[in-house]
Amino acid sequence: MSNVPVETATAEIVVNQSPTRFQGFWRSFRKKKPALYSFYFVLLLILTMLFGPSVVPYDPALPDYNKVLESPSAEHIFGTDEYGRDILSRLAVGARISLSVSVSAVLIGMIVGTILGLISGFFGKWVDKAIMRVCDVLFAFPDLILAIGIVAILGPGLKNVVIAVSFFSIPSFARIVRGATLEVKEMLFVEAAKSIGASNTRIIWKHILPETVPTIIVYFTMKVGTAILAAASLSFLGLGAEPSSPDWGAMLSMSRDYIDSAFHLVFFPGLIIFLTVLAFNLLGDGLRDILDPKTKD
Amino acid sequence: MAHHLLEVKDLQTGFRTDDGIQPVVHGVSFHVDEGEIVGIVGESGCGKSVTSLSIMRLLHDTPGEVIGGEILYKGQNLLALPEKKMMQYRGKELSMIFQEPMTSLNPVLKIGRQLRETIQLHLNMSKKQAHEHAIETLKAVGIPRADQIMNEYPHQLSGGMRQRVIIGMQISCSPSLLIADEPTTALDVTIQAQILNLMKKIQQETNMGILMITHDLGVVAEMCDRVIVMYAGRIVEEATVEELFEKPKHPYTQGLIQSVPKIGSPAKRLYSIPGTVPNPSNMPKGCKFAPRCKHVMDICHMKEPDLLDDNGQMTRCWLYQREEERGAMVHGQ
Amino acid sequence: MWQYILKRVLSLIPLLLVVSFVIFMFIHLIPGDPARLMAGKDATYEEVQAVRVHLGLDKPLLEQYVLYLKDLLSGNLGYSIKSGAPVADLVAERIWPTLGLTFMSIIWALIVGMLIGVISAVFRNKWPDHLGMLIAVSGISLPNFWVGLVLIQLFSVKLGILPTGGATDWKSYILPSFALGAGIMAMIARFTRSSMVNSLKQDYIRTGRSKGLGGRQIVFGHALKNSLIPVVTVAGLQFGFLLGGSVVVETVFSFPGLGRLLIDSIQFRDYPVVQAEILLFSLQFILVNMLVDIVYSFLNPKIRYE
Repeated sequence: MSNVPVETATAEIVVNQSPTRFQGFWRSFRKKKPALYSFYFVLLLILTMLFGPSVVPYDPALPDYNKVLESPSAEHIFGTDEYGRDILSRLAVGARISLSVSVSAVLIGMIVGTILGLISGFFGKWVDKAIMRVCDVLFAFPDLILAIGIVAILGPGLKNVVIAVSFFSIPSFARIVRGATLEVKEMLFVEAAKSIGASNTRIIWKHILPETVPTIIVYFTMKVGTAILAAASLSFLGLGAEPSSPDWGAMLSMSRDYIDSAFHLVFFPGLIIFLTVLAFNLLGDGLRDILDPKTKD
Repeated sequence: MAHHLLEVKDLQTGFRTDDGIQPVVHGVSFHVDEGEIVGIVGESGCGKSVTSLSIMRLLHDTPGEVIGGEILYKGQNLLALPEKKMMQYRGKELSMIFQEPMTSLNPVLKIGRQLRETIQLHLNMSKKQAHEHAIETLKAVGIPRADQIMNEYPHQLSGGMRQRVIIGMQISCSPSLLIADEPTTALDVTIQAQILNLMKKIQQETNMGILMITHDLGVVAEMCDRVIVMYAGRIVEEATVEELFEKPKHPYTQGLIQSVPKIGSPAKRLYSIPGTVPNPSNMPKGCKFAPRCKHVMDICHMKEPDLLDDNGQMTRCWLYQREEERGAMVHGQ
Repeated sequence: MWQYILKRVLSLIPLLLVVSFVIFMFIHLIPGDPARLMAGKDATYEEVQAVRVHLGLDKPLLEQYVLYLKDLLSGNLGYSIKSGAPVADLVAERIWPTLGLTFMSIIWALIVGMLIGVISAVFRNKWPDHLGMLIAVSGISLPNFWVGLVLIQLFSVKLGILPTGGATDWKSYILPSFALGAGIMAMIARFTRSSMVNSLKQDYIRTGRSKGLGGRQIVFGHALKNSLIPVVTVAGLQFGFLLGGSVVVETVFSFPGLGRLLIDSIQFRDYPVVQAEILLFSLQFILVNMLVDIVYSFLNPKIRYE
């Protein structure tokens, strides 16, 4: 099989010639229907985050005691809660809380984890060992238990939920980025950059980081789903958002008492959490297939 | 009428792609007789491995699919057999050894279990009999302390040993035809010679037919009786091994032979055929070798030549086509 | 082999030391005076001082840690602020329901998950695969507390065939173990599928076919064992997910286990209990992963024969 490399090289040239990298990406992405629809759903969520409060049909905080615990109807398609507030409006406004908490937590975890992973993978030796040992210790705690422990120390509240959730994202990002860094490090062009005397920072920043970006994007998308679930769990346990706030987890926590009389109170907030997490997971799967095919299967 | 052991007639195999089926083997015909070693040579991507997998009907884990032709084994068309029947043929009538001895054995099963499984599948034997037979087979392929090896795992053996085990496994039910796809490519040079000698010895003892797929003309010279040269999914030359090395006719064959280093000849730069194998999706119109050929003529770009038989040596090249046909073609255009 | 196991067990010691130190620091990381936290809100100054001396909180940090370790080794986990009872006793009566629940969850999750994974891999890119993977990605995305609530609504409120909570008999384990196992079942299904797909691509599968093996012999005789090895490892890693989930699910079902005790204790600021609980959860996680590594070494001949 002597000239296999030659063949693949010519094949790649043919593929890469015409469209830009992004056009090529979009073309393959469009074929992945679940990921595409999930992407639209996430876009819709982002729009809801931005404009939700100004377009919702009812004031999400205003009680209406004539309409307490109403089942879904044309007027209130998701029904009303124990104060007569419109559940759809509350969910739309709550998107801002639930999503910003989880996205910012994963963002922090990603930034810290990526820096640690790059340093660990690039420098190796004792630096690598030290960082990986710290990660091992963090890994010794189950994710949610670690988060609960942190909230127990810092006290309940959204800010502390962000800290707690970002904390358990750090080691997994660090490990993934470290792995990717080790791979890229071995690639020829880094050797080449070294031999022309580029500084370490420059090599990491200009050569290694860009190569690990696809892996990071894929992993970020998937972690957002996990973070939404973790944040909702903490709120559900009364350790996160204020019970009266329209955070999705908190809404579910409050509605537990009405499970036998007004099931829609339980059903819709949970459904929204489920669909949101599902969308992020499917989007992550689709992105992985395209951007990071070697981790597939 | 006596049948050939294996007769491939106008075999066409293609790969399924998004834009339909892309042919990679275009009407290949050849035969192997009992006691004969036939080689198929060519660069990677020429369709030689796909041809061998088509014969074994082992394409279902690949995007490949046989589109047309017949594969006659002792007169029986294998392509017409139901899969159940074909399963009984594999390992019993015709079997195959592959290039990668390191990964071709299951790493989590003991050698003994893998051999016994084959034997019990095809020969009506008890577990104990199969065990004895397996040890006999391992001894026959030159494995020392065979009864111990039965209890070991593949990773405990060297590459050469593993290839011996695989050969033993594949001949344990005395098949009449053995297909060997680059059986020595992954091995050290000294081990290569041992494995080739072993195969030759087994072939002489059992009189089975061997189809040897290789890119290595050294292997061909050492082993084969007859040689088929493939290029871009077609047979371009077929000859006995003596004819092929003494008077290769097709420019591609000549190039292949020139690119082999010869002991004793002055060390010059090794010859290599310029250019690369054309991409299946972008084949030249006429002769597929024309873009790389130093004898290229106008006609070569227009029409593909037929495989022409000249006293048993067959060549697909306009240089040897009948004068009148060549002329007719040029004037007809 | 035994050497490997011994090495693996010994390698736990430094990790356990560090983890126990982190958990020991828990009480000191909480803003405020630990002695006052332990004595409770309404304690007088004298009471707080008495607690400080009694618990050794006046000694240097390192000495306190050594004392803490000694206590742990002798099975003393401290005393509850709320009830004054030994934490070890409180935890002991809660640990069995939780172990039973996690055990039931992982068993059904493994069986169903592997089944879905194998079916999906064998029928790769056909409808059983699409269906299996749809179930799997949904399972990963489901909030387990919501699954619990929906199950209660369906089986307890509507149909009235299963209890809404507690841990009185085996029936009360069914719904919680379903809610708890769904996520991990889904992960096992995905890993089994990818591992199986990978095994089916290997050269030895082609060898198996070339010697005449049929589909069933290939899948069960050759591919499955190779595929299960990585799945075992992954199942161990996902065990943490199960432990975290048990806290939530136990709360939903008012299940008298460790998880619910943890949440109750946090709400009561019963820090010694919280501390002991976090220690127990981590210990379980670490031990399960060690067990998984040992099982892995039994399954994989390459390690077994080193």
